[in-house]
Amino acid sequence: MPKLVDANVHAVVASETVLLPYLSAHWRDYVTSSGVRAPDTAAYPRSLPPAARAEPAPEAGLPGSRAEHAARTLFDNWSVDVAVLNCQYGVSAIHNADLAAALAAAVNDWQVEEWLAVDPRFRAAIVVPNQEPEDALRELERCATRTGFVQALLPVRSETPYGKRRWHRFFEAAAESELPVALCLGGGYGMPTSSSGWPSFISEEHVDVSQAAQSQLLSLVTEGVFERFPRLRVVIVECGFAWLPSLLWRFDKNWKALRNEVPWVKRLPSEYLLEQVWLTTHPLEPATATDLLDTIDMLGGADKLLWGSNYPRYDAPSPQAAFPPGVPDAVRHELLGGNATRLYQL
Amino acid sequence: MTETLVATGARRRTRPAVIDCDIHNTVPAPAALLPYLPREWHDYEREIGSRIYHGYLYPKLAPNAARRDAWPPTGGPPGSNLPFLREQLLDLYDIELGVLNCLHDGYRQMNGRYSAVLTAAVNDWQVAEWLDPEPRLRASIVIPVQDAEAAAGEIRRCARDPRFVQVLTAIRVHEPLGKPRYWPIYAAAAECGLPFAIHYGVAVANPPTATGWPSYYLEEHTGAALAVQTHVASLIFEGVFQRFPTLNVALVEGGFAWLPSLMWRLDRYWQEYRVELPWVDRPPSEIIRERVKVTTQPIEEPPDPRHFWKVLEQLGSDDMLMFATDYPHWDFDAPGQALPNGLSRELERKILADNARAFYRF
Repeated sequence: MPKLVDANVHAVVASETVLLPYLSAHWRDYVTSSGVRAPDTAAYPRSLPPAARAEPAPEAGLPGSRAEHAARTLFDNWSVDVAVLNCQYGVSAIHNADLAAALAAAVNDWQVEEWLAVDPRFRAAIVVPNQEPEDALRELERCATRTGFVQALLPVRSETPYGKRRWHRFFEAAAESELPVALCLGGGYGMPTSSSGWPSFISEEHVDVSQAAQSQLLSLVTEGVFERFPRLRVVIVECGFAWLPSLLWRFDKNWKALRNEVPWVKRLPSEYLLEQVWLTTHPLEPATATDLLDTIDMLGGADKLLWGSNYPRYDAPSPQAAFPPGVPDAVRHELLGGNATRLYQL
Repeated sequence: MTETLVATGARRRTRPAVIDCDIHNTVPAPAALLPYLPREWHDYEREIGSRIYHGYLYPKLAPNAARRDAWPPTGGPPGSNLPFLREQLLDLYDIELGVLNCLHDGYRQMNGRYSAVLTAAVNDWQVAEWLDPEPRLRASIVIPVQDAEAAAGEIRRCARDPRFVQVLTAIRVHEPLGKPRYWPIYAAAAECGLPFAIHYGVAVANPPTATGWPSYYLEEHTGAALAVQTHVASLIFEGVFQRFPTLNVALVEGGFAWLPSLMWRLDRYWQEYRVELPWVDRPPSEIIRERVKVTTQPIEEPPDPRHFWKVLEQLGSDDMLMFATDYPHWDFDAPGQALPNGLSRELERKILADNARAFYRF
């Protein structure tokens, strides 16, 4: 029986106090005296989705901030075998690169001590700062061999697209470490979240984030990142997936006409994307089994799709209810854990 | 009707009628607008001239992003010469009607006052040098989009001429187009019975994506549809279609295969965040099917033709697509070649002409 794997759980940093034990004296003093409070750059609304509203909150702190509570829902109630933590604490929002790097390291150490040590069924993403690619590389290397880390994590929005040359050493290191790089909803703090300025509504931001994901994939292909690092795997987290077929068609058509501009892109863009990119499924865009299965058909299969609940912001009451009725069991099992088991070598 | 008698040299058209919803007429040079520019602005044009928001510089496949054979033999850039455009497009493909979308820099001047006079000059130039001599052409009103009141005035001025069939903006404006600052534009368009067209266009003040500036034209061009989606979401969620119940919108030169998945996404978030969108009274996908049309070019070409049919089915309406060539650009779609084989005759007629006929009330 394939493992039931939740590929997107948010470990929530309730406040900077949580990270103080993991900071050096210098940064501890700085954080305490300045009162800095990094945002959650995913900018979720105050309330949880309806399915999650009964989620018990810890006595102190926010939903999602304590491993023991998360474990109860994920492992006891839902019978999840493995849960992958993608912490969206806003390291990328800190303009001070050294502070950002220190906070990222603190988040990772906190995850090790207060999540991975609490339950062996947790895995975590290495949160890396994105102000300076060298700092991201350093943190990746610091954590890559520590047990329990299964991928690196960057926010999907950034100042410049991640395919840019300054990021290539980072992606090379990730590929060599056999760690996927996850691009997760969030980031781009201080920059408009759409391609035409600042939207009004959270609804718009969540629509626009699919564009950010697509822009990153365009960049990773055109800058040759997938070509140079054939073992690199990228996971698009919480940005949808139903947009991928139309992107592939458009991208391939344009590449045929414009490939002289990027001669290092030797194959059809769709080949790189279908081989080297995984995507989490929730919040689910295709609401019916027909639409979901048609999308899977357009992608040539379901093998790159990963169920991720977005705990504590889950919109389905259980993994069994995560996909509409009518999805064949074989497909459901792949989505609910078979694909993740292979990707993360669980 | 599948056949239309065309009084062009008494030839009888036996193919389905074609209405081209995206033709780019080009101002040959700044001097060409001087006869239409108020005298008091001539010094400004000569000494300062065009100042557009910078940052957008992506060498295209070819100069002017045009087909290499579209440079008029008598001079001027592609799209600037009416007789040559007739020869290469209107006559060659027997186009019944063509909608001009002039992408002149007037709309994206840093100097908003200059935007207003330039766009008015372009509209007058269009009347004199395109609409008057060529009865098969219709035009879009170009507007100083960042100044909604001035734009509204220009719309009302030009709308007196029924050969202006829509209001045009390029994407990547300062803010998502649903924002209330742009509403005077929609009020004027709706009042004048004109649709609002959003066209793939060039950067104004913002990077083309929420992840910064792409390096390559391939990257930027492929991402162009993404920017259109920002505006669809904004128009829907800001309640523009409720506030202006007669306003229709055309999405031009962004392709369309992404539209079903966008509709799913919009529906999903409309359901979850209803509390911030109380004026959106029905699912976004329904609103889109009723009020939004999309031009076909650049038409997507999935390797498995079944998927093309599936997208059409997922659109949920035969009335949404309107054929466009995008003459004279390099990714020009020729009538008779662009649409896949296997379309029913009825659907082919709709896409090639009837949907546009209904939308523009030709």
